[in-house]
Formats: sequence, structure tokens, C-alpha cells
Amino acid sequence: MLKFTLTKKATKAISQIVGNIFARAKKRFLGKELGSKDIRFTPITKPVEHRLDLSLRGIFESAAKAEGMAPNPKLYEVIEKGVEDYFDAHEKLATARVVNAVQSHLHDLEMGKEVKDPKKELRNVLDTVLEKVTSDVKTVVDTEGNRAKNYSTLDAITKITAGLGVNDPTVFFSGPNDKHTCNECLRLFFLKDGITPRVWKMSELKNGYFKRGDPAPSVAGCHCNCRHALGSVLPGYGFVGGRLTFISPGYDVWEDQNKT
Amino acid sequence: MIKSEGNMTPEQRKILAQHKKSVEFFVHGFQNDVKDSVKEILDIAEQLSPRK
Repeated sequence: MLKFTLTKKATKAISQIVGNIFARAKKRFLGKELGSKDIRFTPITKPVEHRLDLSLRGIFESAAKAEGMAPNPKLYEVIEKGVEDYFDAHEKLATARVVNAVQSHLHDLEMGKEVKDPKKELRNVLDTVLEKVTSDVKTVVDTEGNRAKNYSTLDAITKITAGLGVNDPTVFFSGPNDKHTCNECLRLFFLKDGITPRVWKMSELKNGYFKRGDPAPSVAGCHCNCRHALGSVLPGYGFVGGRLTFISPGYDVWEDQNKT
Repeated sequence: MIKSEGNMTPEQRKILAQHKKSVEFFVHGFQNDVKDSVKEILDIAEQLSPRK
């Protein structure tokens, strides 16, 4: 039988502390202002540094500008909302895990469990729980940053190629093939020679998260810490020695790579 | 830059670096907030502890 249950007040206080971590995360990465309820607890009195160049918006804007185009604000709003939803979901999960850890710890003490240093033991449990939370949130920031970068690039490419009468642009993922390159990146981003980038039609790319073995890459990239960047191949261009090069008028690199 | 990165434009390399730095910047701040929050949670648990 459960002897010890956390009071509503204690549960609320823990929820607010965890909530504050995520409110600050939103401020740091998305530039969202802290609400009044987010500044009630002591750690929150520290200012949160938000740098535009190191934010989701900064990545999104740089990607569009790199293609010589203005960033698409409506597209950004959709991507930002997605990241916010992920943060909210992870906040709920983190709150449940932390409340459960504290509850279990206090219950064990109540039941007379022999613990040399209860505070140290709870600290170890919380550290483990919150390391997992940090790792999960890092994955969100990394993957969604990549998604923002690539969607902004795709949006710019679509506008550029539409002017050339291309409805389904040819794209590729540029980047290294070295000892750190994973098998999935190698399979999807390079031809068998390991040098020439493999091209894709924009319509072939997957929109959701990539899963090992997927037949085509995802717009969000294959995995965290991916070093490959989305780029476009204009009509007439192809690759020589792995470098994007003008081949001849009318040359279609996608057709060339996909002929049977 | 390694040889096989030659197919990337300078802008692409710059954005990749910006992305990497953004993740590092975020995680550093998040870890600090977690550290501060653990102290707060431990204080609450201590107040409620049956072995105070």
C-alpha cells in the first residue's frame, strides 16, 4: 500500500520548477518571452540569454539568405509551432518523471528503507532522470534546427526553380564522406563511388523523421549531428569529381543517375 | 575543411557551423537550468522527508 503521497502543493511546486526549465528553453531557442508564472522561483531570476544567430529563427533566416532569397515568415511560424509543441510534450513527460522520482524516494524513506544519505541518493536519481530529459530535448533542438534549415532552403529553391519552369526541383545533400559518415548518409547521399552526391527529386524526400532503412532521406536529415546540407541542382548542372559543375544545356542529372 | 567537403558552398559550411553552435549554446543553458532546478527540488523533498 502506498504510504506516502506528495501533497498537491509539492506536486505543483515541482511542476512549476520543471516548467520553468522549459520556459527558459523556449526563450533561449525560440525567443519566447517568459510569462509572469515563469519567474516565481529562484533559478528563474537569472536572465536567459537569447541570441538570434543561435536560435531557430537565426538558422531559418540564414538558410534562405544563403540561397539569395528572403525567409518565408509563414513557413517559419509553422516550424516554430512544431518545436514549441515538442517542448510542451517533453515538459509534461519530464514533470511526470521528476514527480514520480521524488514520490518514490519519499515513499521508500517512509517504508523504512535504509539509506545512508537520502539527499545524495535523490540527487543521483534526479540527475539520471534529467540527463535523459536533456538528451531528448537536445535531439529536438538538433533535429528541428536541421529541419528549419532544410525547409527554408527548399522554400528558397522552389521559388528560384519555379522561375525556370521546374516544378519538382532536383536536390542533393552535400557534405563529407569520411570515417565519421554513417552508413545511412553514405547510402542516401552518395553514389557507389562514394564521391558523387546522389540526387533526389524534392517530391521523393520524406517529411517526417527519418528511420533507418527508409528508401529516401528526410528533409530533416538522417540523424542528429548530421553534417550534410541540402542544396539544389539547376538544369544543365551535374557533378564532376563530386563538385557541382555545369555539364551542358538540357542535361538532367536526376535522369542520368536513375537510368536503368 | 576536409577534401570531401569540397562540394559544399561556403554558405552551407557557415550554416552547418551555426547550427552546431546553436545546439551547443542551447544545451549549455539547459544543463545550467537543470542544475539550479535540482537544488530547488531537493529542498522541497527535504522539507517533506519523514526523516528530517
